[in-house]
Amino acid sequence: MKNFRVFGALVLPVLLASGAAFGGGPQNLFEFGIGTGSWIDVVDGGFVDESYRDDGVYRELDSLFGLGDSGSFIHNTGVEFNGQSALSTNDASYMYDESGFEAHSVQHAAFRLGSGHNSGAENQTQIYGLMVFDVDTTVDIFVRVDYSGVSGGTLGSYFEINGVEDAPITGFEIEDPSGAGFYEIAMRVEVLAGDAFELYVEGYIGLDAEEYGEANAMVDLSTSVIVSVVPAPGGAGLLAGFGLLAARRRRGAGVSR
Amino acid sequence: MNPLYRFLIAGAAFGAASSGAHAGLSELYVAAGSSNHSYIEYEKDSQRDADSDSYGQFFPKGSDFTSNWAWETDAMVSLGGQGAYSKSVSTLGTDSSGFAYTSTVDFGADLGSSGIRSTSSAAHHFDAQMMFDSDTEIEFFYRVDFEPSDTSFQYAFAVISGLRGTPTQGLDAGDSSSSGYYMGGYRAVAPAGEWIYLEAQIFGETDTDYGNPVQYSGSYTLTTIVRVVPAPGGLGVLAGIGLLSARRRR
Repeated sequence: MKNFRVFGALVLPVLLASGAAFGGGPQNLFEFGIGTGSWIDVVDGGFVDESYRDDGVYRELDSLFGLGDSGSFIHNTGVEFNGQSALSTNDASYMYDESGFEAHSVQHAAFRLGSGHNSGAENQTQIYGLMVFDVDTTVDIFVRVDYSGVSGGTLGSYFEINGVEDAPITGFEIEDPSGAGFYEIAMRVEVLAGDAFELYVEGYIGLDAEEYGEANAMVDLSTSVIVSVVPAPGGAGLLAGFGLLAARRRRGAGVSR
Repeated sequence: MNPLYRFLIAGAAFGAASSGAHAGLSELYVAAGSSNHSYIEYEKDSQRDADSDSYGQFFPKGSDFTSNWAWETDAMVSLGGQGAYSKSVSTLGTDSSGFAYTSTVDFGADLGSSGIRSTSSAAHHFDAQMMFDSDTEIEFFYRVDFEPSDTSFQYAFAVISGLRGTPTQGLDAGDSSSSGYYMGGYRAVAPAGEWIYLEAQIFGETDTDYGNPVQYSGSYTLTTIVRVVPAPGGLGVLAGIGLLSARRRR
């Protein structure tokens, strides 16, 4: 009985606090996905050597309460034929729980394609996240992209967020830089209860020998995305846990990708 | 701004100044300024305070391209229980390797007695034109820090044009109820004999027409750096930025 009292004394304030902080029913929705793919098609006369590899994770959950996951995957794709060669690598990792999610991707490609032949190669990463909260919720967003330059091909990074109020930046993209560089965005934004907060980031490397003739390049593109729920003021520890909880509770109705 | 960040930027700028001393900058023009304005109406009375300052210099061929400016402007008013202030601190340094510009404004306002219009604003601008004797690889870095405001208007941008093969640029921040920062940087080639233009601005305004009354305080900062990449392998600014970003990552 004594233990129960102690337990009650610990739990009751938390329940009260959570009721105050997230009043109303927990109706959340959480979606998360990260996918990578690389395709190489080396053509020489009537000969075609093709290689394709992809991998990905996608989650759609009604509640994140007590749930979380993390993982990583790597795949390499390579083709070499008659003087042409292409190597493409994707290294991706992810983590999510009630506090939010993060995803990291490193893409690397080395090409020596063409010489009159219609060869091509692509390397792509897509990161997607969606959260619906049952109360107005503050969220931290961090995006960082580093890229090498590209010559004779396509290098692009695309970033977009939806469902936040008055965010100063809702989208950005780079396309075909000849030099190396980066961009980094960090914002604290408000997501209103019931609104679907969405984040989409894509990284793309592509070479097409038909368009560019002989295409030789070594290209790197890395992407990091971190989205975290800001715990309610003064609500450390358990309240942060409940923040995660709230993050997961989405209203399913009317939410679409 | 975080002191460490200032330190890193200063270090990067110093590195730029020291490492690219013999780079191929041919001609350079820089201009920068800040202005502050605060205005209060109360019954039949009003009070206004304004301050502005600007610098501009053209460096022809054969110059050493070296200059350093630091200036402050501010405006403060108080009337009938209302008050507003803004203070801008700006620095601009140039040498043969490029230039670095930073401007920060701190401002606060407690304005508005129903039906009476009061305003406070601060604006910073920076323009540069540069030309090189030969095709020259340069690094461009920009950063904007901002704080949220529901009752003021803010925008900021930094755009460089004329470089060869630069990525698409669309990263400007508009009206913000969020806090945060954005920054970017890249390395690109400035073609010989062509003018390269850089324009950067940051602006903030509080007006009781946006909401009445207004109670707000905050700050925002704009930094932009251009430097010649010493041959071979100039890692100065980008290395500094790398440290910066690493520090901000989890």
